[in-house]
Amino acid sequence: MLEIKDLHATVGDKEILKGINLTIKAGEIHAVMGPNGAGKSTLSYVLAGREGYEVTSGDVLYKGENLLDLSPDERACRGIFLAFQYPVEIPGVASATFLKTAYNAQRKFRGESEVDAMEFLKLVREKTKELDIKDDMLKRAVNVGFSGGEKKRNEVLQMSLLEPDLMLLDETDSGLDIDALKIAADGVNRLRSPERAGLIITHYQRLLDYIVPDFVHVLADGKIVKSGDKSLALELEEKGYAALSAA
Amino acid sequence: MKNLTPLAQTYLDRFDAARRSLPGHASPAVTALRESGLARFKALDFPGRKVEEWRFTNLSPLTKGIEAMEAPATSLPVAEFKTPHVMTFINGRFSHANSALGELPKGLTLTSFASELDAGNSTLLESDAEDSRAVVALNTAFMEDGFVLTAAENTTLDTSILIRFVSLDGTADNARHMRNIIRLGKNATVTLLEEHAGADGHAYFANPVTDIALEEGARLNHYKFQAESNTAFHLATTDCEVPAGAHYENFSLSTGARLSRNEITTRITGDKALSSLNGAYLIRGHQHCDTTTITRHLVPENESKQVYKGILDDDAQGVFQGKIQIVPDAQKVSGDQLSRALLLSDRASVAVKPELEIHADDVKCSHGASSGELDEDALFYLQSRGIDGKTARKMLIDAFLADVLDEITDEAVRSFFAAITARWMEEV
Amino acid sequence: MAIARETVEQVNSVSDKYKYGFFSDIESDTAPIGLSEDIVRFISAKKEEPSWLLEWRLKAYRHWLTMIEPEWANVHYPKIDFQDIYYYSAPKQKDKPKSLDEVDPELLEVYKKLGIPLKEQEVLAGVEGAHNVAVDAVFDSVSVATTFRERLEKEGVIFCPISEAVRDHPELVQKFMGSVVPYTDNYYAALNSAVFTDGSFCYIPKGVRCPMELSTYFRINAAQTGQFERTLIIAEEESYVSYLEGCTAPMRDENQLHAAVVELIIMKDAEIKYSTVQNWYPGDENGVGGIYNFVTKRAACRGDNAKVSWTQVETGSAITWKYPSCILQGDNSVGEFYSIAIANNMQQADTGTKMIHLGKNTSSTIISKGISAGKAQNTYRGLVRMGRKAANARNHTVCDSLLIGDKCGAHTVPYIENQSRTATVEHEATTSKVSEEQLFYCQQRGLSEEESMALIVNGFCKEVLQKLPMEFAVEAQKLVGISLEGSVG
Repeated sequence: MLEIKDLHATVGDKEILKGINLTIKAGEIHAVMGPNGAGKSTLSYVLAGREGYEVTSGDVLYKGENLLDLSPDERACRGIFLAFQYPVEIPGVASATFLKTAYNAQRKFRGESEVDAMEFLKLVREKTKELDIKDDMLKRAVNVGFSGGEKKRNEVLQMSLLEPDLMLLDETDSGLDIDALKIAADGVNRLRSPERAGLIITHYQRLLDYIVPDFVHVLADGKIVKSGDKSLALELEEKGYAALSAA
Repeated sequence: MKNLTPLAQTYLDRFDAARRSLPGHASPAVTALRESGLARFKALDFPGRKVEEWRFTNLSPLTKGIEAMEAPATSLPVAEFKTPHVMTFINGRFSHANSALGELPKGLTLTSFASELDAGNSTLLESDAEDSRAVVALNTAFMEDGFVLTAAENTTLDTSILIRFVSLDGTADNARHMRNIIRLGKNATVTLLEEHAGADGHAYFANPVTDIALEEGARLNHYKFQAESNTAFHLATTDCEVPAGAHYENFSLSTGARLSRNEITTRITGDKALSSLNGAYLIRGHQHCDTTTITRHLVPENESKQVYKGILDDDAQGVFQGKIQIVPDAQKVSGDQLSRALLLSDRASVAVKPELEIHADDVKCSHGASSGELDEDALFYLQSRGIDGKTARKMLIDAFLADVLDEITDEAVRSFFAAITARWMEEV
Repeated sequence: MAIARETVEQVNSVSDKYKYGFFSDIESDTAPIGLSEDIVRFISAKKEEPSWLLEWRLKAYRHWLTMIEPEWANVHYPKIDFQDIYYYSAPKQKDKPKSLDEVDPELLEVYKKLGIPLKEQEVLAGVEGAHNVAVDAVFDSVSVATTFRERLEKEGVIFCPISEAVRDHPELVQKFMGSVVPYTDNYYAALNSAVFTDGSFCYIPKGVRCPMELSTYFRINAAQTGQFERTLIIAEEESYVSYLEGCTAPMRDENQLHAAVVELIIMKDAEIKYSTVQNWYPGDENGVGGIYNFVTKRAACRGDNAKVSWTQVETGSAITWKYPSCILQGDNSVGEFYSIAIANNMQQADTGTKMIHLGKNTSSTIISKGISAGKAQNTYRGLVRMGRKAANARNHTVCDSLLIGDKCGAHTVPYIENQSRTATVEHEATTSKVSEEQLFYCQQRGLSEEESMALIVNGFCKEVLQKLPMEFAVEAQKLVGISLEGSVG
């Protein structure tokens, strides 16, 4: 589903990604772990197409198509969803309006008819219930005045609703207590299917207890320095990143 | 003595001939008032940019004399805002034929200012003699017509009144010195919408002066839609006195005029009084729009609020000057002000001067001002959810305007204004 | 709370109302009273200046004659009689002292009384390095002592009185003086350019991080004397300097004029941190006497990534009129302004900054804390301008006012001009008072009313106090307390 080949990317004048190679097949969940400043978030932004994150060389193929030519919304409509590490506050835009606009934009892209307000509300209610999100959150402006946990749950809510093919989770566990973490992980696990894939970016092993990955990669200084299965995450937890870079 | 600006000189030259045909010419009191206005205007002239209050607004395109434009006269457009009470002024004069005052509640009167002047009723303008603002002095000398609204104690108008000032043509010496008077008795409640409009291509100078006095407990919702011709000048001055328990709500939506200024002064003279001044300006091309507010808290325990938002495209220039003044001993006063501007083009610019002048310690005052472009993070976030760039921008602009439109209490006016802003946005 | 406790102790330790209100009986060499071309020539001759400088002074003087005193500030005072001021007053000395040992003992006594900032005793005792501040003291109009010069010279740093710089480094002075504040700039800058008598000059060569804080102490001593000092600091590429300026003056019941000019030039990747504690005599409770402090300070960030930071604590002067400004020319250059202005009794302060953004990605921060007490008037006046080419420029301004008592005034007059779509300007201002609950809470824990006030006010100013170098921060906290004496109860 996703094929990253020798990806180099800069932010400003600084090279952050220095040759990433990674292939994710449908049905797989990959976790990328690494110390602070390794380039984890940069990777997620590059995949989502954020301005200012410049790819200097390498290719990214998504479903066989060159991803890097596409604008952020075109990528989203093709099924890429990024759960932000720091969800953005948008004063004045009600969450419900935001969700409905996004939902219908993606349906429209797929040639499906747009849903009306009633139908949409019903759909959202189902999801909010699953994720233990209060309905009044929908009336509030996007992420404004939300606690850290609420923001993250809102990200998962959006993901459940938009049902992406490729889920990118950037430090979704940070700021969540254990109960919230379970709920969020359940949300992700419900979406797991042979057609979907996921890339989970995390600093700690904790989240991987709940979303069990098929592969674990260690990102350090802009490169993947080690890959393995779930046990690699446990090893890292135990020995720390320092031991790994020393090795 | 220094030379007057060409336009000021034209007014001085024209006065003698004009006053013989202006309303109230038979009344010595009105004549004396006009003469005093002219004398003050002669001493003041139009303000240049060295006058602090006008440092951001250059009047020279007006004062060097308006160029006549070739544009066909138009007919009166149908009013978009629906209400049973409509008063229409065409080219500066009350048009009975195009007005439908409908059935107004007992105690509420709505008349034309010209008819009051013709009746020698100059007592409405007592406070005028000392005014030191040039445009007001000029208005006093040449005032032509306008509306006079009075409401007796406890009178309540459930619907709203629409006052239309429409210019159907524009020749060089076309000026509209409108004078409006509003007097609300104790606990009276009135909602009023002014519409100032003219077809694009007509050049004229609109100089409305509105004098408002509320009595205790009165409430006035005063809305204004300024959609003058894109070659017109519009310099509006509004004064309002807000005594104990009274509430003055003003919202001005400006989309028109080549150069406009909306200057509002409120004097808060009683406890539990509230002055709420808000507005939005949406400008493009070479438009210049100036909003100037002066809020004076003269006694303790009252409140003022202001929210102004501007959206500027092309080469447009926006100005916001807002002064909150709290005199000594006016304790327990709260004054808040917010002004924000959104620049959509590299050539648009904005100048802001929010000012606090505070002489009492137990007060809560704040002002905030910001300007810049749309938030890039928010745009990306929306796009990352599949919303295309154009829609995302529109959503953010709508959101930017939504909080200020929410300040409008009257629902009908709010949705009318929302429709206008949406239409403006279509052309971005 | 440690800092607060310290403050309280310091406030307690100071018993005088105005500690610096002594005046020293030093014979001085004074020019005739009044101002004329002859006086300008006299000053220039006294200083044995080259002809280009005399010409420049005369041009400035002639230009000044055509100008009118600015009246836009929110300050009120009787018209200044510029012919009733002495423009030159130097402590009389037979020869220039070669070291501090040769300095008039009476003068040294003055330094002692100046207190904290001048650690001359240590210098004399040979405790070199014990206190890493090099000091230039400007007494009335003339620089009398500069310390640590040799050590600085080793690094290539020039730190000397500007009169000496004119003699020893004329090419630098001629190149840079007036390049940031031209003599045509404003009324007081023109006056200063014509009659400036001394001040500090500082040059940090490329790549040098100045090994110690540089400091100048200004003092007006003689009666009826104006002080017109001129400071010029040049930071070449990749250099850094932190500069401190302190000011005191004796109590006199007449008003004295202080019209200084400070010019900072910051090249690529260089940084200047300029801190001021201004404690000129503010006049008495009834507004008699005090310094008129009309100062022009401006920094030009000429190169990319240049940075300038102004921090000021303004507690003195009868009238303060100053707007330390930043011209952000270089891309990515940074301007900062941190200010505490305290006005008590009859003091009037009209101060703020100008941030002129010209380069791309320039950013500026303004934090202003104004405190008004007694019958004082305190005005923040500032300008933020985003030029058309200032792409992605940023400004954030916070202006807070605190009122103590109901006879004072606090005013905020920001001017914001944005011509750049991608620039962001944010301005916030608030006004508050010291609440009775806060005072009561502190008192209930055992602090006196005045101690409580000093504590709360220091808390209000904390963000700015933290920006000051250590030595100054302590003194500034103490001043905050002293300045507000008599403001409660």
